Amino acid sequence: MTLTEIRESLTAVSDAVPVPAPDAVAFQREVRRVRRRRATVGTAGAVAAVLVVVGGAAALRSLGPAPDEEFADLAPTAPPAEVPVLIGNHVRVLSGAGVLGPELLGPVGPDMGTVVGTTPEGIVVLTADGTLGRLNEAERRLDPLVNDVVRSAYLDGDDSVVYEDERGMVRFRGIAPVLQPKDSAQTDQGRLVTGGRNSFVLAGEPEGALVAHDARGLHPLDLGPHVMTVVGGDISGGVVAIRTEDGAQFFELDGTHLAALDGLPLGSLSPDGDTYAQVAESRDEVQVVDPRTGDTTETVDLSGDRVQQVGWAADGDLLVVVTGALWRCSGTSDCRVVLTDPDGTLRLR
Amino acid sequence: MSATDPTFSEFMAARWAPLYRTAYLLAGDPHEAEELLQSALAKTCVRWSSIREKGAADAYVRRAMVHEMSSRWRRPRRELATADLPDRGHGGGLDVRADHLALWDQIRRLPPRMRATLVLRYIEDLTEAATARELGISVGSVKSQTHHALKRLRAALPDLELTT
Repeated sequence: MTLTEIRESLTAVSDAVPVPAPDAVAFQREVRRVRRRRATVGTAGAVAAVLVVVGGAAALRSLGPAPDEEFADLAPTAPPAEVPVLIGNHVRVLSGAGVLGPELLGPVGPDMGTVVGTTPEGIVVLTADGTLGRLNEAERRLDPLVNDVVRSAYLDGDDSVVYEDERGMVRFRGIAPVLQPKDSAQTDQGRLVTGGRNSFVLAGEPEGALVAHDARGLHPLDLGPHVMTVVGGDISGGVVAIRTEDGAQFFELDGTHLAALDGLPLGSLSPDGDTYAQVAESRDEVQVVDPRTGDTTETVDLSGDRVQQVGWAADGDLLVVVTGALWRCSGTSDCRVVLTDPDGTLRLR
Repeated sequence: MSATDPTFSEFMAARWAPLYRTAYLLAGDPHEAEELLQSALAKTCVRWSSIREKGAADAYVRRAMVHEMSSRWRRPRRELATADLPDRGHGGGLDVRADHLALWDQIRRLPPRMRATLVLRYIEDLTEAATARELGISVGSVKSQTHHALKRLRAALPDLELTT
């Protein structure tokens, strides 16, 4: 056996191996992972934000990782996800191309309280007077999902909701096409803090405790020895984010404490549960945090605008409401203004 | 970046296939090869603007793959080692001559660093010194890795004579 023979064999194998097509989605995820890791080990704050003007639109790069101008070319071919927004208490849909649709229920529709979320069956909303319903865009009407007056509601996957009614009962309900109750659990104790796929968190059962419920049972979430006010939460990707008056705390669904984050009670967990966006105390930045460690991996600078709210599009794009505008980022970088809001009534939910 | 430099997406589209082939030889497994290449390309993507010589980007990706492989073989392995490689089916799914396939089957069984040494030396045509730099080992180690690789292959296939 000679080296030439080895070379020939390796060449023959190399030529014969079937080459798969690149997986654009997996690649995009890997790029984000590399960026986050570089940002973590990099010199935080050493790089100034760069505001560039592209075709008249302001584009802002996040602090931390080096810019990768070519990355945008590699995004999956699917257009950016539509985003339901509330403007003046009416629901409208912002297309991925940045076009704002009409008021879905018309100018005389009920005042909206919350956009619960987007499902294959349509946008689920909670009106200001406690009606939980699905927007029927074709007929421009609201189809109620339940007869109860509802205090709060969260999507449970994309085919049902978990909600708390006016009597403090927590219930599940299928969304469509047949309005049948899922009714897998209900309780008359506590307050519904948040919900996710086959899971929810109650506060106050018993005596102020915080408990996650899922198919495996009940899991206490230990916030520590200090009394603190819970203001909300998110569940996704097996991660529970609990917002308190002091910041946020992160848990596994089984109750394992992951990390704590000091700061404002303004934040949002990404749809995959891998990232938590937190409004900085200065209110002009958004910290991108790994909920499993509590480490800030990136900082999104909004060039002095006052941040009001953060959220996520269904495709994982970060959304930031500032005074007078909505910013959308590709993932957590390359942020640009996609909607102006001169009246200052824009909300994400 | 000059006007004639390729964008990263152009580079990736043009070089994905040949780089995948190198990744396959380094990893010895199609799934690991895809992961390895994806990881290396992601690192290249985020550094693209700082790579001055775009013509050398292949080498950058290859080095990233070798480093990733190096870190894998230095990392404690969670999975249990097994004497038998997973069955790839008849012909390992590759349409090559039986003698080439027999030799590749043995090369796949070599320790990763030995396999990487052979790939860099005899497919990528690197010198011993360049191979040593890529692998982060001494030139003497490259020589000994090559020597032991050939010894193992000859022991495993004493009667193999590659036909032309």
